[in-house]
Amino acid sequence: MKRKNEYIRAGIFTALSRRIDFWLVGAMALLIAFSCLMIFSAAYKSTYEVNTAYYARQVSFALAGFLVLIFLMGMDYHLLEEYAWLVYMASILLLVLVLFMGKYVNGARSWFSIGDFTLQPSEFTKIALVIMLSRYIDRLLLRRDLKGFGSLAAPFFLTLIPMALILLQPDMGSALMFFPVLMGILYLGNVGISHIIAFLGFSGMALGIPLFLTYAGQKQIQHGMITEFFAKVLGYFPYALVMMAVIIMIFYLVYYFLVKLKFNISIKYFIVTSAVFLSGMLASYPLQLFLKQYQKQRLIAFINPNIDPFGTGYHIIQSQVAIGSGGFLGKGFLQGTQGQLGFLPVQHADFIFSVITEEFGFMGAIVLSVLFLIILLRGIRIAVTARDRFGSLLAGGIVWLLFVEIVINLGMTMGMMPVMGVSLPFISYGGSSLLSSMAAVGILLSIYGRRFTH
Amino acid sequence: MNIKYRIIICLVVTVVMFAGLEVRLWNIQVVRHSPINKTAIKQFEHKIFLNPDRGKIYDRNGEQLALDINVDSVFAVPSEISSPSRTSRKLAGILGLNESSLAGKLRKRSSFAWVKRKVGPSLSMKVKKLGLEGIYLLQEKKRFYPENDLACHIIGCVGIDSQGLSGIEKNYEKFLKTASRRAVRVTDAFGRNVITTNEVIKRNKECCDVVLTIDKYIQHVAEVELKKAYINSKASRATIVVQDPATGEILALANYPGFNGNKPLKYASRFMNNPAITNVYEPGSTFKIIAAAAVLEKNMVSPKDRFYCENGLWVIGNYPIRDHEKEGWLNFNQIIMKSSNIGMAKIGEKLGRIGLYEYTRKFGFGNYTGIDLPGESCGILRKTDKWSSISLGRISFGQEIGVTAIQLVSAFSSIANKGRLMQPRIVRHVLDSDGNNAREFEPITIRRVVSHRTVNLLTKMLVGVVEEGTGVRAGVDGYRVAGKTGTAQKYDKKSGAYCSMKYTASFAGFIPAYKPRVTILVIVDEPEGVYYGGTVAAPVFSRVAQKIMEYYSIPWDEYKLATNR
Repeated sequence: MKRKNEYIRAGIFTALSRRIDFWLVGAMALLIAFSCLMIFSAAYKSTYEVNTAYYARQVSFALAGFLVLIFLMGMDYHLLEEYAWLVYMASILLLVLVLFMGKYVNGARSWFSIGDFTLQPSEFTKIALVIMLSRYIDRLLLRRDLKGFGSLAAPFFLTLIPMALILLQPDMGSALMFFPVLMGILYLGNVGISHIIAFLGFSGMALGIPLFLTYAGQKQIQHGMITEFFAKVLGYFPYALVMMAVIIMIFYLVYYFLVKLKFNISIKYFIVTSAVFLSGMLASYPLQLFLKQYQKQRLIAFINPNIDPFGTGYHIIQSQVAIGSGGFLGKGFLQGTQGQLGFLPVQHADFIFSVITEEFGFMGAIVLSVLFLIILLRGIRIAVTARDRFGSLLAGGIVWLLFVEIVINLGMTMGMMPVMGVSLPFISYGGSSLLSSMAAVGILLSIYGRRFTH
Repeated sequence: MNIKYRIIICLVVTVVMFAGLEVRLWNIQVVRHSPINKTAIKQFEHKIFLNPDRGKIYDRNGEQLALDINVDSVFAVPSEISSPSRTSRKLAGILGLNESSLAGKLRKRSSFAWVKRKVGPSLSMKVKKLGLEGIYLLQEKKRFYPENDLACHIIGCVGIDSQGLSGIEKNYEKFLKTASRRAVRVTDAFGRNVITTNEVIKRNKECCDVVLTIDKYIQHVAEVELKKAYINSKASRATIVVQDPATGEILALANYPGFNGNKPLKYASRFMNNPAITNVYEPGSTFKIIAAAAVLEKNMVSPKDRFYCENGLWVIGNYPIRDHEKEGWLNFNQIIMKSSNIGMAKIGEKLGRIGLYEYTRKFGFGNYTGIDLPGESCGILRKTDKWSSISLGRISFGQEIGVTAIQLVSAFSSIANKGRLMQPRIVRHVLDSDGNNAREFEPITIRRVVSHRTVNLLTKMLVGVVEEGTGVRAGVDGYRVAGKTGTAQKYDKKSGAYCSMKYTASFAGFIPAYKPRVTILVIVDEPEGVYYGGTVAAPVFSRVAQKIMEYYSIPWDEYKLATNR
């Protein structure tokens, strides 16, 4: 009798663990619990901006998130494939609506205000885009039709629409997030490496030149000769045209000699490389006008905080002061100073990692990183073991999205990456971010639970 | 499947990126931790240096004469104050400050300003009750003298930053400064006060408290009697010194008027001086014991030898010497007893310049006594080659020489101490923070001045002064008293002559005469009306000596009432 009971219980657990990835759910639950504690801590001593109501609000969002998670886990993810257009269009509609009905916070219309709560539609758009792109690429691959550049035009525009809408809010950080998401899914979707490189080259030129000119224009930084030279050439359009011509000539000469030396290289590579350079450089000039000076400064301030000492630079410095003052073991829970006394602004949201490392030190950061790694590695495992290609693409895309958010946020707090206003999944204060991250995990679990072909 | 192959590459990228982040984190948190932490502390921690803690000052019986008490200081964090004018109006009323200057302080966008330091407990309660935003209290130490002006010139006082300004507080600064203190204020990013703590930086464990030779009771008695004499005689100043002749310890030292160390700012700086050791005056007849001791020691004159006193006026060269009573022939005993200047001048002539100078030096005049109080003067004693024809005579009866009260009392004590001159002392020992002796000060014998025989002869003469001479009012019931009166005309610097209106009345003596326990010197400067030392100063001696004898429970020498009744 007793034995039979044990057997049944073991059976139930085995059956559950075949459908639910307990590693993934456990790591996520730990992160969320930790997040609530840290939001409490970040508001603990502070008499300004942050209060303990944030902590209660985050807990209620976490509970709502679990409902969303369970719902999505139970739902067959193929429904998402079927209704991908609907999800995508709904998120686009929300982005349009927020431009008219949104609430201004810090000069941007990014939030819907519903009573006491605020929702940020751009957080949900990311997942909708991942679903949409997964479906599109899956269909393309079905038709074995991912060779030419033409087939890439559609995913590009699918990404560009929400990106442009978010740039209108304006929320440059969130908008720029869509670009790595697109790249990642294209990569997973077996798009040729050369296409991706060409794509990266184009966008690198388009965004790189305005940022370089902004950097070179900073008077408070000592510039080298080479920087000065390129700044002069790129800063004046006719000079830039001459330089482009010279570069194309050099490319052609290289190609010419290679052919003379009996290397069998198609002229296609020469044309594509030249076209990428040319188009990237040409695209950079309208972009330079479109981006505002402060936006460009924000993006490069991590190179040298003096570029924007009272805005982003201040964040970058204070974040590193908070992290560094934590030391190996940290100052202890509720014992932090930089976050709690307000030296580090928005300590509960984008910069919560600094508060955590201030109070728990390097050891705490290691624990946090391990929990994140568990989520990402289990996600990759789900992508590998998924039943079909759409499942793999969707899981891979979601993992990639989480990965990019985590790396950009951590890199931002440590002064390695631009300050883009990207929140740390599961940890940062913010209902929309938490809900969308938990929804992402729900989709992952849905794919996991249906990995066996019946 | 190719997609899965690419996913595996993603896995590698993920792990590598995380490793990179951890390396960067290690660099910030562990490698660069200490400089970054310093930056962080600099942002939120602000240090205010406070007054150091001071040790206690005790009398010889362990009674507290000076100690630190906890009081509150009021400070403001102007960046927290929304309405400086309203806050300053409320505060200024309670603390008695200038409203507009306070408002000016509060309007500055600094993060710290003292409002008023070291306020009393009732005021700090009132400030607390107001509950004004941006106004805080910080505990500080304040010097407190429980007996107010008692022994003020010995103890001295401290300044606003608790630094010793005078007296023992100044001379024993390095022993009394027991701990440096600072306040640490933690502020948030907007300069608002979060918490203020008060901590000790460095503690001096070696030394802490100072125990004086002063006896609080004797000091009190001396001060009460001195004040009475000062008021009755309408003097400009009065000084009393009580010394233990055997050890040189000062039992009491007071000047009137004095000051209250708790409110030092209310007094002009001249009240802070200690005239007993800084003021040089011409001693007059009390100085006659020097020449008398010298001639007795050298066997030049015996107590029965007679001198002609010229009926009260003796002119040497162009300078007259006067006696206050016209006398004919007097023996040495009578000269001292009746305090004849002419007689004394003649004895001085016998002694000679070298002899007088030698003994004046031997008794400690013209030299610092070495008492451990700031600002001691060594008096004025000219070398013999600078003396005029009349100097010898004049110095013999106490003119043309400047002494301090502490020098004179030490000289009298050397007679009382069987001819041995002791260094006057004010500190018995220094205690460490556990109350053990950290440093003890032993009695120091400077030199033997005169022999026992001389002491006996001179004491008999001085007893005669009190029993039948000028000092009868110094008598004490039941005890024999040895002493000498002094009535010195004050030298007027403007006219270059002795003026007939201003006198220094004094009396110096010891009791019991043949087994002395205390030496007392009383000086009343510029008394109005009666100006004789025997009338103005001697009664003070009598009353103080009587109380001390009662206090010490010393048996009577003889069953006899003093002749001054």
